[in-house]
Amino acid sequence: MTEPVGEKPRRRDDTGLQPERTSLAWQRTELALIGTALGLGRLGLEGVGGMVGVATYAAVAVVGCLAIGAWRRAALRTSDQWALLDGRAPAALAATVVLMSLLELASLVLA
Amino acid sequence: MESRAPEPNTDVPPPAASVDRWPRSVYSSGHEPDPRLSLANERTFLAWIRTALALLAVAAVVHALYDDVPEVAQRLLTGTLALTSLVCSLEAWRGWARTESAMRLDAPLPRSRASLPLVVAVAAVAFAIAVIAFTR
Repeated sequence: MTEPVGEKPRRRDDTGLQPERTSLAWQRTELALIGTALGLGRLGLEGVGGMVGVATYAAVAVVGCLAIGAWRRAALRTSDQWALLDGRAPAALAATVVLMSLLELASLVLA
Repeated sequence: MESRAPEPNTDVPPPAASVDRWPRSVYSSGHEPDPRLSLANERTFLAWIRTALALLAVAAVVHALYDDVPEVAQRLLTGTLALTSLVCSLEAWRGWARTESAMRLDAPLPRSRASLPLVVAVAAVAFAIAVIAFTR
């Protein structure tokens, strides 16, 4: 694709709103995680851990994920940081969801 | 048409300063890709994670609310959904790391191996739920 003649060269910090889209994707994921953690805690684990266990589980999952997402989205706000993101936040988020799946499987086997 | 000398690519920031980035297996080799590609890779990762969360939410609903179907069916459905969720979240991470590595090494992007199992699992669960719904 050729750029129209006379158009100004793109600036180095013109990112095509990629950080913003990524930030919003993190937000959507956080919302999905909140809903799933609450539903799973209320519906799936009730018989196993009782209400205390359920509340603890939901709180840990929700607070943990909000922290991961907020950390990531803060880094996405500044251009000198988002170029240097690494795999820590994705790994932490994936580990949280793996743990949630394992808990659901455990509640299935134990119930 | 006026011919112009090719401009240097100003979209790509200069190579990042060496900072401690994790995991080493991804960042120890290759060059810094266009950060926008890394962000796109991250959004694909997040889409896999949301898929895993959706499967897990359905698992919880089937586990808790499908208690008027045979217990074997309920357990099989819940187990399949939760296992698929587990596979999806593991694949989310694995796919992210493999793609990031490939971009750093200018290698072809890896194809996800979890797509077909995911389709099969969701189709099987949908079929089972349809059978349950029509035979009651």
